[in-house]
Amino acid sequence: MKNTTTTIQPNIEPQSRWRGYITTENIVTSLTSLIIFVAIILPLFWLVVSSFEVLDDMGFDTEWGLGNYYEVFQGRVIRKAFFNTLMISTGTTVLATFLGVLLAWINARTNCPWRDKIEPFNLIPFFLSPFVGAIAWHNLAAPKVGFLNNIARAIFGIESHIMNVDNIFGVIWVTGIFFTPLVYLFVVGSLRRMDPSLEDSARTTGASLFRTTMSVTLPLVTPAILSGAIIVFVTSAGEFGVPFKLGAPYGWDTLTTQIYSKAVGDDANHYLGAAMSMTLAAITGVLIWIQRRIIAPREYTTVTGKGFRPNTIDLGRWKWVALGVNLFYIFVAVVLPLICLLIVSFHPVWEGRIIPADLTLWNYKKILFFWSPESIGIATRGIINSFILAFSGATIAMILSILISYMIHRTKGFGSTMLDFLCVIPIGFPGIVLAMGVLVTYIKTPIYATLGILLVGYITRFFPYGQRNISSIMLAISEELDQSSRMAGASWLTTLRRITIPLLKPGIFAGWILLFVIFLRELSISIILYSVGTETLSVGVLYLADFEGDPLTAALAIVQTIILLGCIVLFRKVAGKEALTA
Amino acid sequence: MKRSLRLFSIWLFAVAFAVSSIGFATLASAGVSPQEKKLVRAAKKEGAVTLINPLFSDRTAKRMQRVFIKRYGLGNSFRLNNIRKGTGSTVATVRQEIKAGKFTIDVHLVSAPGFFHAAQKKKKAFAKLDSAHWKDNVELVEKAGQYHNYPYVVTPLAYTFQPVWNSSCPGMKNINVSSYADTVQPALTGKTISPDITKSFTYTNTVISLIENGVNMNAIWDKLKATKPIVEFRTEPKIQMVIACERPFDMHNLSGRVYQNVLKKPGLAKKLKIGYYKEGQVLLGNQAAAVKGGPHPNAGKLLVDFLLSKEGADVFVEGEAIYSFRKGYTAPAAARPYLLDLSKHKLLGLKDWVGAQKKFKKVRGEWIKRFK
Repeated sequence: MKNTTTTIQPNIEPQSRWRGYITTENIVTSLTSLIIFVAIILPLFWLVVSSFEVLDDMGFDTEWGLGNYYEVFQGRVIRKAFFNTLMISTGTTVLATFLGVLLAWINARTNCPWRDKIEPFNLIPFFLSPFVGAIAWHNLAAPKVGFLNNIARAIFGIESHIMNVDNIFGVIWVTGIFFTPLVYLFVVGSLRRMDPSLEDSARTTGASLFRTTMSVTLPLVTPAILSGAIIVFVTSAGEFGVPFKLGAPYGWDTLTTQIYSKAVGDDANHYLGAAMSMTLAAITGVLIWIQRRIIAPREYTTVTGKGFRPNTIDLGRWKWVALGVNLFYIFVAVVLPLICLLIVSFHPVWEGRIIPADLTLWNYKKILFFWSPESIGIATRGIINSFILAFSGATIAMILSILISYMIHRTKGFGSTMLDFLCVIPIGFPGIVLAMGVLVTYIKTPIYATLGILLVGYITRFFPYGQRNISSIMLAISEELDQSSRMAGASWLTTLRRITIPLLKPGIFAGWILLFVIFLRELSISIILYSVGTETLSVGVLYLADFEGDPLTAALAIVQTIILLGCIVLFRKVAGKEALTA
Repeated sequence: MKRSLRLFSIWLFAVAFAVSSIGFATLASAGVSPQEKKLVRAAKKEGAVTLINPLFSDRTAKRMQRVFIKRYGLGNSFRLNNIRKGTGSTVATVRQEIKAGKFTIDVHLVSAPGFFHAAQKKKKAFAKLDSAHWKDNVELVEKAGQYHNYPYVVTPLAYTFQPVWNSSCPGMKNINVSSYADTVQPALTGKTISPDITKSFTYTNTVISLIENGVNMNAIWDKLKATKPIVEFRTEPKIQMVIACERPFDMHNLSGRVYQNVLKKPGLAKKLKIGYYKEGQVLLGNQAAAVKGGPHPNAGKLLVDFLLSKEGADVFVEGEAIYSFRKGYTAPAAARPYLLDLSKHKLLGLKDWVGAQKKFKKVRGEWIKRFK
């Protein structure tokens, strides 16, 4: 008997061990890891390799070397673009942080009137296209023909201008007001969670409101402010649309406009573009690492275990000033640009002033009525393609996000740490950089020149947004619920379908719509990867700006904005009122 | 039953024969050459052709599709896909496809002699053409000192940069520009748009040609800098600035841009003025080639020949106000006011269009010193 047992054992044990590994859970999670690895690492690998290939004058042969990096650091134009990028990112960060913290403080810590109703509007710029904002602000504040300058000249009789956005300050201004919600989102939560007794103590010892705010309130939320500021710095360093419109034509090239020029411009040199991309990625990568490893872990230290009742500071008559500040922000970031674009879009040719006799809806017909012989194909196709990409991209990205979040938070191994790390990488890479890697990687595959390559680019770059959304909710759900289901005999897939996903539903909807909106307005990736028939809405706007003139561009920009605003309303309806109140 | 079937088959065959005969008779009557006829059947089967270029607007492309289909009887389902990108962008796209050996483009049309030369020399990138219409173009192409590399690369059209200004803007009423000296007059201070030669082959080639012909560009740039110009390279945004009086004078734009905006608003015809340079107008020939390996090879070759034909020329000249190299060609009336009478102007080309690319770095370097 004993002998029989020993002879059978070696045959059974390895088989059962293998069977133990081959489970639905392991297959799905391994496949997901592989997809993420390939999607992220492969483009970056090719980008790094390309950066060491030096192109000859005729543009076909390359040799290995450090020539591209030499050019990046020695070339006058690129060096200047590098410093412009740093200046723009710094300026944008200062402006967005100031506005973001101020608005967050007004809404979270003061008795500013109507703050509940106003708060969602503070976040709208985050969902709109900064490129469209740049087009609008150019028409508002170009020195000679901007609306605001024309009005100022008419009222004050001045000959010069009061504002000029066609320079580095304009880029900072527009990028700053559009990225303010990023800081706002980081800070407002911390301010709401803050124990007010700390402020009360300061006030009872005789400190003024200003001193209390500067010496107690703000230091307590410093990690949140720094996190928001770093994200703004990184995002603005990778921003393409605003400097392309307001900077580059006026001598203020940035790294992204130069990368664009090297990727698809007249002096195209992918390899030099790759080296520039690596430089930009290095800056953003370091900052993201600092945010993730040093600042973010400190964010919860302001929340104590002691119970407290949130209260607000009574601003007295100053509350109307606070309301004015908030309304002014919404006016300059949303209302004013929209009014300006609307006016321009009703003219056949924009002559820098309103001509009532010219007003027409002709431009809308050209971009919306795809059956009309006068329609502009790239605009109508762009709308359809963007919807296809946004819908399918958001769906696939959310499926990936659920699986990845599950693996990170429910399977504790080296793989989960690795995945967590992989999910941070795309955040650190500007869209235009990642798109170059995607292009080089997939050019020989069947997805090249199809919507598929755009989809890959979008998902690779933005799925971490969805994943963070899911992760934050998953962290709040106890693992015991999953374990109980498994103990009761449910498979992994059944547990995921019947327990985990229903609990994650609000996060899934919110993440889906967030990605949907981001994909609808995406420009940096699309501009590198589009081809005939795969143009997107933002590419359409850029195309019209390049080849058809301001009124048509404004009309498509208005259409894009209306679609995005519609999505925000839907977002609020589906994800609940709280979704846009941080 | 069998007999009726046979009769029906004969009837069907006769109808098919008659239809195809009518089709060929139509082709013959439309002046379609035997070379084109050879390509038509295969092109029809391919069902589409994709052209990449920096010039043709949606309006022109749609009209081109209609005329192309009609001329060759390609059927209503045939599609002419027009991809319009910047000059360099088209080059970057085609170059990356050639290097990857993966093609979505059939025909490339752009002013980039250096690229066409290198692509053919190093990669044998273009299909061999057997054009019926090249003989009607080659004489003027060569007379104008333009690059071509027939039977692979032809040059069907050209444009030239001209000064454009808005006479209705403040301080612009008495401005007239007919030389480079006029562009740097103090009256234009703060009003000028200068081309960004670092981002454009065609601006750079224009400058190289002028230098070759004795124009001291460095001196002009020094004076130009004193007028505080802004630097922009895309022609449509520049014409928008001119129209809106933001920068009412552009040194180098295309008369076609003026024409297209006048079509949108006829009143602009009186305001927008187009000048010329007595030092010489640099004619920038646009080369066309059928990309070897393109998804629609026969339709691609057919389209190249179409661009060289009178019918093709009528479409792009009427749509864009650019120049055809066809001998004895008369431009459509609508575009004529926007085209120079080339016989009355000093036309400049380049001694070596391909070699010019090697001068880019030096020339651009001089420009960068002053403007970047």
